[in-house]
Amino acid sequence: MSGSSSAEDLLRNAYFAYLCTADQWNRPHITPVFFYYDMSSGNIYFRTSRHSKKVRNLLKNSRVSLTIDVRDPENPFNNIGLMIRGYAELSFDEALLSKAGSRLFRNSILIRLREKYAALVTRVVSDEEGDWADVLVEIKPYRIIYWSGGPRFTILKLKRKH
Amino acid sequence: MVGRGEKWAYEIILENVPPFKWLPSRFRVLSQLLLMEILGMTIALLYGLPVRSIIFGSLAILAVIASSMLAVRIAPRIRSLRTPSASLERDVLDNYRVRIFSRNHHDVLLGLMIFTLVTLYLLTFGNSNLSYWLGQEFPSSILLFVLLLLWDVSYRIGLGIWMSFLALYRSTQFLGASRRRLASGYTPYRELATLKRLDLNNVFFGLWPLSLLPLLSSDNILIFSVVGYAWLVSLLSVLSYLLMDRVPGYPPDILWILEESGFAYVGTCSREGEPHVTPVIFVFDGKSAYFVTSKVSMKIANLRENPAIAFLVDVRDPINIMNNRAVMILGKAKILTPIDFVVHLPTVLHLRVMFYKKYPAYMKKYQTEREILPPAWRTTMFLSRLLIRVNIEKTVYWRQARPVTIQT
Repeated sequence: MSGSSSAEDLLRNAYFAYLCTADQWNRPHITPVFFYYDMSSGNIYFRTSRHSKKVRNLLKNSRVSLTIDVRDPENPFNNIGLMIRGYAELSFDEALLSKAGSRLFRNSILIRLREKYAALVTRVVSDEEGDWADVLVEIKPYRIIYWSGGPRFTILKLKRKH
Repeated sequence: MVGRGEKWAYEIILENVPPFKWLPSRFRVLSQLLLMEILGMTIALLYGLPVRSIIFGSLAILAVIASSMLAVRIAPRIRSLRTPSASLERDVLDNYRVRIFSRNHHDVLLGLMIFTLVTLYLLTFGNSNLSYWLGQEFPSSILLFVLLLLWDVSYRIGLGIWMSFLALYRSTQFLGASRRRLASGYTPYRELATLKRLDLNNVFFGLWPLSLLPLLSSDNILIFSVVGYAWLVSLLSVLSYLLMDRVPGYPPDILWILEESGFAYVGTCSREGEPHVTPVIFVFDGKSAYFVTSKVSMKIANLRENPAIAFLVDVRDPINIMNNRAVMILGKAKILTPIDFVVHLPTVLHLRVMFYKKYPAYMKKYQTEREILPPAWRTTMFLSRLLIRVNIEKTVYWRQARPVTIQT
């Protein structure tokens, strides 16, 4: 499907994802995040601080929504984007240190994250950031909607097995 | 800070003179009403005054007390205003407070002037009023009570004029100062709202003496003065309100992002706690953000269940992504109904112009190529689309990846 391959392109190459979480009173909260899309698992990863609002929200409600899009201010037909709904799993540093296998996996994700943003900025995922970005968040999508403007507008609902 | 600790003469009396100072603060003004009324009644009974005089006297006392209650409620609000982070606006507000609670007690001076003028008038040309109020023959001791009441009225009239002039002066200065804000200086929305509410309260200060009109029989000079006063004070207060209404409650940085950025991300959440986020085009009119969305969209379904909304607007720096800035508005969404459209027609028309100005290409495409648009993107209002207003409760601003909560 052409839609699904351009959706993957977007997931691999876009720099920003807009992450929406909800607090215990179901009040939404949005933050832009730098993310890495792991093609083999189909999951999305990003780093953040355990004190951030999104982590505090996710500890109470693990459901998230994520939008990744390319915007054209001139022509709405050129907009493409996708909206993901999924569950978030948090890995705190200490918990991961005891499990050698997952630590290895985590490190490979962190390296990929760093590689993706290295060209843009070194500060974001550098090691000094480890102090505050002490949580790795994994998002497992259960539903993806992809949209793209002309020549013919399409909305695809990509179902995924979980 | 200068001006904060100062009080009006009337407040000082209530707090320091027995028996008022012994009472809890909310009974102080009421006890004054009772005291005056008892005093008036005693005098009226002692000298066998006509019923008309008793009613007139009571009316005047009531009017005086009502305005006192307002004054006593307004003063602490003015003192407790938070300090704006914009230095020019801070100066204007401090200056306003210093003047309004001036140590020189201009409120008394103005009252004294009015009192002297009215007393002189009543004792000379206007002495027919006294016989109308008190009957042909009255003992001179009653005059003392009438003068006391007259002083109470004059003091409050003076206060009303003083406050409304100061308010208009403040609003003019404030609007000017807000035009010269630096990057992140501003005055929070709540403080602006308080100042505007004070202006509306001031309108009452202008209108209350109208309740004294029945006392003035047919003395044209007095009637003319009271009506003139009412006009002056309410006009100044309304003008002051309108000027304050034009002061934006955000620093220029955030205003710029909200006005210039083309896209916003709308976060909603179902009743079951499932979040949802999608991009929209939007306009910001200085007070609220507005966007249009399809009637059948998930956003609307969620918002009908749960009006809580997160509305994020960002500006991307193509050279350095660490320079990206974002504003997130947290609040409640209001889905505008056809009735709202009728009630707020000028606003809606203004929004339409804003949409066309901000998104000329989009609006043209929506009109000329609507057939190839998916049903969810077509723009016939109410048939397929709804207009939504985001009412701001809290604002978070990110600059260089550091979040700052903005007081609203």
